[in-house]
Amino acid sequence: MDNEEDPPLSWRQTRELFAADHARLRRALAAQLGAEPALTWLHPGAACVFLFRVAHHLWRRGHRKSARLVSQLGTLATGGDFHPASAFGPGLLVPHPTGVALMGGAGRNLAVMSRSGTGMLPKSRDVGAGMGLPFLGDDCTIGPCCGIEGPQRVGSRVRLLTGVALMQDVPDDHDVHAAHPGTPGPRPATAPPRAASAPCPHASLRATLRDFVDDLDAYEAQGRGRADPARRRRMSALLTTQALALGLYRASHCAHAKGWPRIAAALARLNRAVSRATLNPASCVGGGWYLPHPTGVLFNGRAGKGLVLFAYSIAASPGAAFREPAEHGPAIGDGVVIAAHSRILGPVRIGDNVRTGFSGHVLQDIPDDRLVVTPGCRAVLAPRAEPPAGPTGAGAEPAPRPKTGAPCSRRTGRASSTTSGPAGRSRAWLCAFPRRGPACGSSGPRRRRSRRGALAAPSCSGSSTWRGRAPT
Amino acid sequence: MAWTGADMRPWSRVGPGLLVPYPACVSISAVAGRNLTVLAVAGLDPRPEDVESARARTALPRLGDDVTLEHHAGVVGPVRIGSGVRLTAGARVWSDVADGEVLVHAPVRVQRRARSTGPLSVEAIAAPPAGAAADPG
Repeated sequence: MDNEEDPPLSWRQTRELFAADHARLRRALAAQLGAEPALTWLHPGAACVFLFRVAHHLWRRGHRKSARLVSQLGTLATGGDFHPASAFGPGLLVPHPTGVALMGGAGRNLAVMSRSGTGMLPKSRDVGAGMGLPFLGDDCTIGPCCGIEGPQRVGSRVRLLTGVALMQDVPDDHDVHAAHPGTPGPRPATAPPRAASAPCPHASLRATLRDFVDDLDAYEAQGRGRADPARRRRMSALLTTQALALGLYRASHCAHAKGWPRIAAALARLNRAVSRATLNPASCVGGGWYLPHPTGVLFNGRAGKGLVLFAYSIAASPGAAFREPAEHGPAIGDGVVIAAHSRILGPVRIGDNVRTGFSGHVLQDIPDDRLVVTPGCRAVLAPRAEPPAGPTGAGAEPAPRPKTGAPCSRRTGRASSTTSGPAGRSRAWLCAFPRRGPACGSSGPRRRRSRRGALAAPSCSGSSTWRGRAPT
Repeated sequence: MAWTGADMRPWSRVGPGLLVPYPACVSISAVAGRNLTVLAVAGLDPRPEDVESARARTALPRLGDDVTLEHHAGVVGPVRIGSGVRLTAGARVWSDVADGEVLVHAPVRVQRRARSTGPLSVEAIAAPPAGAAADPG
């Protein structure tokens, strides 16, 4: 995060930063696909970084409200939640931005894989990114399912492999992996479902509105003491993805309590599409729910007042069943804080004032006032064996383009993978269109279909497509 | 990805019977057999160092039939996962797994803590657990 005395960025500087980000994304896609990608501007990884750069530019120039608005727009469009005050050097690469939440600072060429992020802890230490925020050096890579929480200083050329909860400093040139992978063992037993609870009060529209106002108050309460005064205003709270997700959930739960299941299911599906949070309308949650990063959150159960759910947290039944009653999920007390990547599975009872650490794993009842920690996710450091690779950002020599093998033909343009149901077939169909068409010498309707497919494929499948043109 | 939040790479080869009930934040970049089940926030990913190379398309996890990844489970890198393997919630794997194994998450520790004074005073969570000192080996 930038400091107050940091000078504002000019548009030229912002353009140069994004040009470096975009060039790195193009190189990564070209290496992955084996051909020059087309229309990478529509790739979610490019869109989220572009909107973040614009939001950061506005933030540095003092337009805090506009910056937050652009940031929320990026969250809605791509699922990536980057705080506009975060300062990242050129070459930022986020190939799968859905649910990635980033706060803090980093040098050049940061790469963040799927289901990862960095976050703040309310500590007074400042390592260069602001109080309580992490700072990473150059050429760092955050692997899948990793998290860096709190004011940790991470050196240059550090690589987090997978499933790491990093809460300590790391020197340069180190690999970090989790202490324990999954180990063979018996499948955990599942507790029997709880008895049906008393009907919740949310059939009343007044009670639903009261709890929604409490949710907004919880958001404003979390903003007290922060540098951003806009966070403390009601309108600012209403324009967040949290308010959108919780408002749709409250409406769907009210419809469910009134006995309108179709309306409740439709609102829950809309919520899942817009905010990407899966909040079962049968769940009953008290007021004051704080949900800062709704993307990827799954909740099916009951909870009291003041629930806090951080990114990627899950409180639900352990299986894959749809439309399960809330009695198959956990019953959570008041004032519970569930940290990022945590899961509370099955019909367990969680007492009041319980908190979990990163990747907390709860399958049994927890009494009041307990802290659940997960030693298996602690970070283990190891010096990197191979010499570190050189920087690949804007200032570095661009990587050589890969050479494609077979010439383009209609056969090679066809999707080669085994499809996985209608969704997979539609993705393969969309990806195949741009590969046929112009490169195959076609024209007219086929060329138009190719362009439409290239426009639609990144949004529908997350995959950038190309037109089969051999790189020169 | 924009509509569902699921990230399924087009070079993945997945057999029939794929079930993704909660698609938000699911990523699939793998070769898998029949009846793959992927629950919420689970994924099959290439290694981080392969993401910017052609190995992201070739060095994929290879899974047998009837593999289940529960919530928050993950497989990373070019490993072989046998048929009938179940990764329970939170289990992450970066080495080969034989047929029929059930992989579980490491146990957690529940400890008493003092009642907090503020809504988010999580200093206790920030402190690394006992024995979490850096292990340079």
